Amino acid sequence: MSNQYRTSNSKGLVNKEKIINFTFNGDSYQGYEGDTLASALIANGIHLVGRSFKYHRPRGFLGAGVEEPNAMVQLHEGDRSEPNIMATEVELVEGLKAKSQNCWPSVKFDIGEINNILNRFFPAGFYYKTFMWPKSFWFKVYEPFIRKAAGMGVAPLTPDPDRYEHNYEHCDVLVVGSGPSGLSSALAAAKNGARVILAEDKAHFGGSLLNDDVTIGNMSGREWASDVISQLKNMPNVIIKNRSQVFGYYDHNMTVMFERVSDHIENPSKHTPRQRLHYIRAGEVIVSTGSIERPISFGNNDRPGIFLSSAAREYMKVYETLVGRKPIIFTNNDSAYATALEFLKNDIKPIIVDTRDGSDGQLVKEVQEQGITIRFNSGVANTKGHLKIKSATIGTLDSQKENFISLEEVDCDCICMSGGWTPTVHLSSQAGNKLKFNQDIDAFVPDKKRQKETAVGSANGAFTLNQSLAEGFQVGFELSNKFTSNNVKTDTPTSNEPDQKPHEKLWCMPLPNGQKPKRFIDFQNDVAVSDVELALREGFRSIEHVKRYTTLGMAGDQGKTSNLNGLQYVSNIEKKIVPEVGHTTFRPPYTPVTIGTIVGREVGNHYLPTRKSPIHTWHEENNAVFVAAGLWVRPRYYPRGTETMSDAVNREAANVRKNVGVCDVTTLGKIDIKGPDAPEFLNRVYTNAWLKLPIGKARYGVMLREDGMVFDDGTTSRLSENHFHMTTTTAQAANVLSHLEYYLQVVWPDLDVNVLSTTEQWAGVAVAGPKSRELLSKIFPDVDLSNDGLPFMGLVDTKLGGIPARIYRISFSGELAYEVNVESNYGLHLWKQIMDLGSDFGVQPYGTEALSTLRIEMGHVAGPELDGRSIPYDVGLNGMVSQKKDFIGKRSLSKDAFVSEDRQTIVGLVPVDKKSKIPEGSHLVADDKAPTPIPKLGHVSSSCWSVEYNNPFSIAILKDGKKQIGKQLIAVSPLKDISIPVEVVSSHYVDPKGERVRS
Amino acid sequence: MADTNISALQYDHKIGLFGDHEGKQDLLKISEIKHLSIFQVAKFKKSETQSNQVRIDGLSLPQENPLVSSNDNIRILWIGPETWLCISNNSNLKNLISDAFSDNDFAITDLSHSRAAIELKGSYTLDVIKKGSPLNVNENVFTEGNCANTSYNGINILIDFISNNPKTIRLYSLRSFGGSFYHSITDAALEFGYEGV
Repeated sequence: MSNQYRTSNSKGLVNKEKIINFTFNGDSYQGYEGDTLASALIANGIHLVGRSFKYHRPRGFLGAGVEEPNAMVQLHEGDRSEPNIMATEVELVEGLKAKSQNCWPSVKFDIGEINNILNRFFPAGFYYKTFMWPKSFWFKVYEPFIRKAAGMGVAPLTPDPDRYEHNYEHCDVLVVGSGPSGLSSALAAAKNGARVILAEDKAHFGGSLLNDDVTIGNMSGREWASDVISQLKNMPNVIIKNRSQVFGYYDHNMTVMFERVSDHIENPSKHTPRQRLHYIRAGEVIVSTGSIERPISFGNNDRPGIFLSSAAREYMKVYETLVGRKPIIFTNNDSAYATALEFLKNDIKPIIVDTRDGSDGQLVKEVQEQGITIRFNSGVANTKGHLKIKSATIGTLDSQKENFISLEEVDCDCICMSGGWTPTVHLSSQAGNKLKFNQDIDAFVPDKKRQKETAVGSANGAFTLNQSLAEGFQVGFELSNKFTSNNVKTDTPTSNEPDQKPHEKLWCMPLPNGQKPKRFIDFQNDVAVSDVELALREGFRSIEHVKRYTTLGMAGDQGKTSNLNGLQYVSNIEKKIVPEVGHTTFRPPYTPVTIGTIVGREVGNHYLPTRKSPIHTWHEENNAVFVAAGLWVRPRYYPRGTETMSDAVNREAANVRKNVGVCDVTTLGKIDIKGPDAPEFLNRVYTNAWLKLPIGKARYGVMLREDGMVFDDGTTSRLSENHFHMTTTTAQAANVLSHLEYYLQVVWPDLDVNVLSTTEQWAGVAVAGPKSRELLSKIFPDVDLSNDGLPFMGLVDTKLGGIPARIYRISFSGELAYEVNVESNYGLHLWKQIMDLGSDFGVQPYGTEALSTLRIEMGHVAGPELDGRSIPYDVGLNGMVSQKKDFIGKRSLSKDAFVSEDRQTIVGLVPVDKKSKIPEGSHLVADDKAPTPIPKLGHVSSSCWSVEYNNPFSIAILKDGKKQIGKQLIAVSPLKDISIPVEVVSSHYVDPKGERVRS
Repeated sequence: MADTNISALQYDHKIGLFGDHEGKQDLLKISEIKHLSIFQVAKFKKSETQSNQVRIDGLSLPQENPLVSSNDNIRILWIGPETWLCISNNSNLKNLISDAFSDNDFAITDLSHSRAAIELKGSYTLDVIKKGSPLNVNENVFTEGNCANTSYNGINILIDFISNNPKTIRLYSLRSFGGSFYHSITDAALEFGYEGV
């Protein structure tokens, strides 16, 4: 029979007209629209939902919301399978599939329960004392076993198919929580004209107003909440979000919230995100997050069927679900009596056990008027029932409340316990608020603010409804006035809430005589009172150490129902007050957040933005294999047929040496430099001289950091008297621009220069090889490309069929070469022209690998040599360093280490056998068989297969390099475990005199 | 010249209906704005010209963030102290700028090929922006005639708020980021449905 535990007289928020079918552990059940998975299971009499983390004890529901520590389930199947989800937070949807976790073969019969039988061997901190001997067992036995046993649910191994998104919001006032204080502050702020966002974690607004029988003005609490929401929805300055949890409070009043957009929708549209992450920057944040009920520790207080009293009431009043028919209400305060009254409304008579000597609170009197006898000065000592509670041992306490005087066993099918209330201070604490201990409520409340946040209502320790309403309206008005100055104040209604008497400062029952049942404090991590006692006995005094030794409060629930009881117990034993013990730090997220929500749309091909040249489509269509160069996607090589990378690269490089190759060099940085002080600026930035560079000429330049290390290199051309075009490496383009701006704005503000990136304005194509001149002459027939017409390092402005073009005669490959720039829209056209007209000359495209081969065998330095550790002298750029003028980094070059005679310098290396490729990064040593430590003489920075000489060739940075030429060393690669004898040669392996570029 | 002049999003922008468009009125419209003339104009420090006295095609140079001066021909966006971006459909923009002042007083740099430009039009325009940019686009802060530099899913962009009715915004990214940027924008628009025009 399904739904046999529904209330008869409590009117909730479920829709009984709509039945929803779901499965749990393979069995089919029914619930109603508006149910959570938890309420639907309870309505079907299912309380056993899982097994505890360490002892595999049978566990059921404790709470009804985010505070739930036990009811973690695995949801869905396949690629949507999701572990460790709290059943209390899952809205029921047609076809939902859920199953228990941390149990095998089933939740009813779990082999892991042997841990509970052997629990005395697994107290807190047992892993610090075990798994140590024999040592060999660690890798073969202990670690595999622990890995298998650890964790709760199972993560799917396939990509998440759902869509997650992000959103940014700005508001004047963010109100977190829609209980009475939240609703009142939101209404007050909104009516005063502020831009308000109201965020509520649950599907329904109203918070505690949904669970309590109160009136506000002339409406019930529930009606009042509904009316306020209705008003807020009609205001254009208000955004209302339910199913939205503000889980993190960061600097500068940035809060982060995740919204469950379509988890509750059976068939959401394909493009509706499943969840959304909102970054909310608020002028002021009102924290109205309410409070969480405290459990009481007593023997076996973790059995399925033992609830927080407020949760039991919520199940009845919101979900029309009975947690049992033979309840015991166990309390140290008046609030639990509201639960008793709700049972009575449904014709169920609870047994009430109150630790206090008495109470004449209004709720207590109402219960007594219905003929219920209350057992004051009593407590629950122990419980029985393996998979579900069956009975409880109740006893009378002595006057000190330290022992039971008498005990009796009573039948029950649920216990609803209440140890008072703990303000939910997490967000305030995350905001940096220094909490203070309030002795009246025995809990921490916000105190000194560090950011613009204000706690109101029970989150601030105000536990009466009238207080919450008053605070909410007042704070909402005051804070909103900072933004609007409208000064519109909303009247505060009053409530008929029952007056409540103080709680008793007792949260842990004594042990029944002669018995030692476990009294749990932290349910999720299986931490009992005995574990805390053990930690203190072993000398852990700081609450931080007690926390970490016992793992109290360290589970996914972050101690929502355990932190304060743990603190209280430590303070009792240490005979200190709680504030002296202190508290641990709250950190985001307040509740677990899916990885998908955090990632958003940074998935797949667009995990990172990519940058593509205007010629990219041609490369794609012509089989290019791409490589990431920062965010740029560049062609690495263009394989033909069954070519390997090595085959393709060697072919491309050899073709440049023999015929002509073309390479897309659009990615190189380009900076436009203009201004009356532009020449002087370049003169200070570069190591070489620039004042007299003729118009229409380019010059190679090197720039240093202030510590003398080479920062970047490139060619800069003079376009007119005060107009220059600088090029940089691809990798350093943005850094160079920042570097230039820094000096112009901070160091030399007197210089009148404007710098601007034009990298994107121009597409660039390198045409290189002995036939490059012939090819370009065909494309630009009107341009004199002879050695006299366009000498090396010259440039000319021309047109390509009416399109502006600029030809630079510069070379990175060491061959006769040119770089042609056209405006980016025409880049593809230029490339196609070159490929079409170049077929007569054997033109082939070449990628970054061949580019690398060509420059390495020429001895041209690049990133691997200019790695932030080399000065110009190290890499053969001595001739670039002016002795006459000042420049950035000049003074550093005179450091002793930089001018020592045996300073490292660039050399070439050829393997003695002319076959073995020398891995980049290899160390150079004189004798690899010498005893360690073997002195390192240098390292290999770049390696290639020399297409000129058909053998491997490398560039290296070697101590006293020039004097080592002709000698033999050993290149050692510990990573590849090889040693290669090498001969030291000149780094300019090909065309050492540089004749080809000037041909 | 048509097939030689390839715009930044020529191979990315798709015409048609996309996303959750069915049954919706007033769909968001997404288009590429092609072949714009774009020039950055930056006053030299030592120039004695008063930038607030300068007129380009009758328009003054906006003197502070986040303002835009515009007429049917040109939009002038404030992008930094004494720095503006001039944008026009008209290919004679360079002449209009040169008529306004000398290049001894202002650095004038052609950036016409360096940007990808996307226009969004419709009531969901700002909702799309909010999915990827931390910029405050609340109507009391950012409205017609405003511009801002911001980022969108990690890509630096410039937003130009063209019109409030209908809501029309132009977004400029560096050309090389165009494909990724277009994907981000259209992906964000799927939830609302959009028409590529």
